[in-house]
Amino acid sequence: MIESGAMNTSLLTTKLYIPPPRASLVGRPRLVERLDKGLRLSHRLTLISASAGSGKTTLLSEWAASCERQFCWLSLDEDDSEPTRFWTYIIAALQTAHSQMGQSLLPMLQGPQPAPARTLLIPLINEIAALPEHIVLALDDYHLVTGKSIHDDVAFLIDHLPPQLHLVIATRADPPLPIARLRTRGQLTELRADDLRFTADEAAAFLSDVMGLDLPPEDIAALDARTEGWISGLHLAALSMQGHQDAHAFIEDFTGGHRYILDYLVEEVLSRQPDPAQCFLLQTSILGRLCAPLCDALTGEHNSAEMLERLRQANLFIIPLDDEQRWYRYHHLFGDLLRKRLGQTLSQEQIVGLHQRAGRWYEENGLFEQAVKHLRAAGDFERIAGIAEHAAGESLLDARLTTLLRWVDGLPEDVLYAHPRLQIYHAWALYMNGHLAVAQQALGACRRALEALPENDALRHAWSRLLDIIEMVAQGFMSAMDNKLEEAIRVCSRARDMALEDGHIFLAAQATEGLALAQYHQGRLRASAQSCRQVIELAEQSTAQAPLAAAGCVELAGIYTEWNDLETAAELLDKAVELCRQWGIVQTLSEAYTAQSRLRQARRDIEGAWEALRKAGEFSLMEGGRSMVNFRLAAQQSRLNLQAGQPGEVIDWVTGMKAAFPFGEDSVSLPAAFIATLQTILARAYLAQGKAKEALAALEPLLLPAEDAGASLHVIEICTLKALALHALGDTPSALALLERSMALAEPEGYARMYLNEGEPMTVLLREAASKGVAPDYANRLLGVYEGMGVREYGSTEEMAPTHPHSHTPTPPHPTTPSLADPLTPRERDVLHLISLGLSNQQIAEELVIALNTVKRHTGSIYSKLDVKSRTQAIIRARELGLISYRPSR
Amino acid sequence: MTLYEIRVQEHLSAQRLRAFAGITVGHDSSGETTIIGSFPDQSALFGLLNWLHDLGAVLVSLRRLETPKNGKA
Repeated sequence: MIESGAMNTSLLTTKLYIPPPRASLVGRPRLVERLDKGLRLSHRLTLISASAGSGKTTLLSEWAASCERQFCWLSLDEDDSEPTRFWTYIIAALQTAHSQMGQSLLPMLQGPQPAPARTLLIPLINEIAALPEHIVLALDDYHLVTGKSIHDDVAFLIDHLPPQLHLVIATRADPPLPIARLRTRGQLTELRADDLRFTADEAAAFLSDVMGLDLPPEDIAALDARTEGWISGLHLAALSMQGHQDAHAFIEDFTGGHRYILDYLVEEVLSRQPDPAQCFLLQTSILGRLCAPLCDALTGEHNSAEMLERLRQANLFIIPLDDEQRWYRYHHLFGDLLRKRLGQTLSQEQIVGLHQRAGRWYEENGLFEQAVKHLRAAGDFERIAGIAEHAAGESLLDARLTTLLRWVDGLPEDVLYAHPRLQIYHAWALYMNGHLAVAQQALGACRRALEALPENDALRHAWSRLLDIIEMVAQGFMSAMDNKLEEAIRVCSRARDMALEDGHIFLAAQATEGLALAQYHQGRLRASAQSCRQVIELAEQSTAQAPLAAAGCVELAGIYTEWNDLETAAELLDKAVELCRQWGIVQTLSEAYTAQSRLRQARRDIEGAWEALRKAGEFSLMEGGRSMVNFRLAAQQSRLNLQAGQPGEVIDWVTGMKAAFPFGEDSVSLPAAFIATLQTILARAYLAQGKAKEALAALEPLLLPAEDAGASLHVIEICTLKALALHALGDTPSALALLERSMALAEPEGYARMYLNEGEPMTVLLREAASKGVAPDYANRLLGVYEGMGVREYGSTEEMAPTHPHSHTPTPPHPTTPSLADPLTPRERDVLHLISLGLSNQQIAEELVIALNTVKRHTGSIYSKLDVKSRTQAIIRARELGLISYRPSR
Repeated sequence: MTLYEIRVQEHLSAQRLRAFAGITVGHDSSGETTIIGSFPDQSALFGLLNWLHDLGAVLVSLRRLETPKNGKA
């Protein structure tokens, strides 16, 4: 019944099993009728909220057995507070009704960079809405789920629930879901403690029919009064009496006392059991799930199968988890009490020993997830490290890194040091998940650990080399972004060759991607394209390397876009999007959509460009402007704003970015490539405002460093923009000289969009160039493309206005732009404005002269009102809603 | 229904507690937040307490303001 996989998210199918109603159960038709009525009235949600032992699960299983609708079931546990796991299980539960439901969404959840659940909910809801019949999804033990994000997403699901799905939540405490709203709208069926209590008649039926006790009415009444109809209380009391000679005396003692009812009863029940059974119950109470071989391993006996069967027959709070009589669990309340007793009965060492034995059994049976859990409880970090190292060795360097991170999390440092291999894997996993700073620390720690090994240690040699390669790849990327292009190319080439020699295909592909990036900045489009193709080829040697193939496609598409081969670029991006969706590579998906936005802008599909940008924002995970992905996204947004005739807003953004990341001669906080992008965008905004001098000033500091670094991409762009500025100032000879320089570099590499994107002013300048014999062939070719397009690019906003109705509104086109139910306060708008300028929370606090905590509160409230999770999403959403309008800088 | 007063150490907006019915949220000059709510049973009360815990709020006090008639809540 349990599927497993080394590093895969193994799903426990027992969690999806609907507990069968016990044959001897007291039927509760009055409650089942209320539940059925809720379905008939098309209520969205059924909430069963009552304390432990009130009979919630039992009632639900009775209902599930009689209900006409197909029931899907999910028993939640503490681990399900992780959103990825939670939604994976939700889909698995729905698949018990429809095997294909949500299948295409699973990779997005389980990939190396799991998607935010919200992005998957809409397609999931649509799939549910397409179902031919109605189903019920029951979530048992919902109180075990904590954390705002899951509750928010479940609330979202409830708000958008199609009639095909009825949701049932059973919980010990009211969940933070919009229960009150559903209640007032008459969309809620609710059963609470008072409803679940046994009535006097039910109590009598339970005691006589289920527990086989023959009691006079006054004893039943006394028990019912003492337990207040609380089912577990009655159950325990009945179990206690089964062994008593004199039931009446027990009832007198029990009902007359003032001890906490549970302590009293559990002691009674346990002391009625024979010693071996008592021992069995206590020892196995540490298990979330029980099966006979596992229990044998724990107790060292060979009678667990009979023991479990006996407990089941004795009605001793044991619940089957499948229909093969293999897996069971204790009733939660009973299990809790047993564990409490265990702590009082056995020593700490004995309990650790139990966890250790459980951990080993799970490990031997390939159920690593559960093994790690018990070994953690036993404090056996050494063994966890062993498991993680083994599992990582099998499947690292592909996608499933989050599990590894989770396992390694919390391991003491000395254990990690003793496992250099694991340490390297861990550092690599951190690196791949975008935790660059931590990853670098971890790599440094690995290095030290390896160097502590003896000189002639084989491990030291082998792993030092792998570490070298990883460090070189990381270093190469950073150099490429920071205009140290020669160095980037040297480092990445060497890393690639070493990785290929050692057979690390993934690392080789990664190094080649760094190479492509450096070549791109060198302006060498053809070489860069060649490297991108190599990345894709390397990556495609194994399906597990798909993340890199997707990244390669995105970069290559950027080059084809520059070449104005928009068909090929579009094909590559479609492929990238498909790979990302299939493998759950969210970060690259965001990049792919950003590239798609650029492509569509080039195709003059402005609505499509905004739509792609919105998707890019949805899948963008990282906060702040430091991540390359978000930076590209924001830069693309600026290009669209420029096209929409809003240079002021763009200038605001650049100003904000520069304030957030101060740069200058001696500052390295923002990589050179980012600075160049910012300044060229700024220059374009000034040009659009007719401020050619300011444009020149913005470009001035860039040219020399770019030339020195051999960053021809930037040289070409800077010269082109300077030429436009000088031309606007009437200095045609200087303008043509710069254009000639730009074109001399650009022509051999086939640049096209570089010029085409600049619109009308560029056509004028190119005609001038052609007539004066400045790169006439190239200029005429470009002019030919312009004529083929038959329309002007941005830069001449007045003439474009009629064909682009949105160019004068701050709101990008979005078909269903809703307004906010809960509008932002003026202060929140101020904060939002500053966020959109790229200011950090600290800077916003200083700007508005308020406490940092106050800023955090405002941003929290803004996120919640805009229904977003990150700054980038907030900005995009705010623009959709027209909440951010141009305001002069302060 | 039983009336409880819950005090937490920081300023919590009513917005964050909007999922819960029948509560009023007040703030005083000390920066504490006072929540007064009427709860049908313990599950409802614990629902709110769990949520406060999720929000990382520090509980200062919890007080029952009236004795329920049936002694159950």
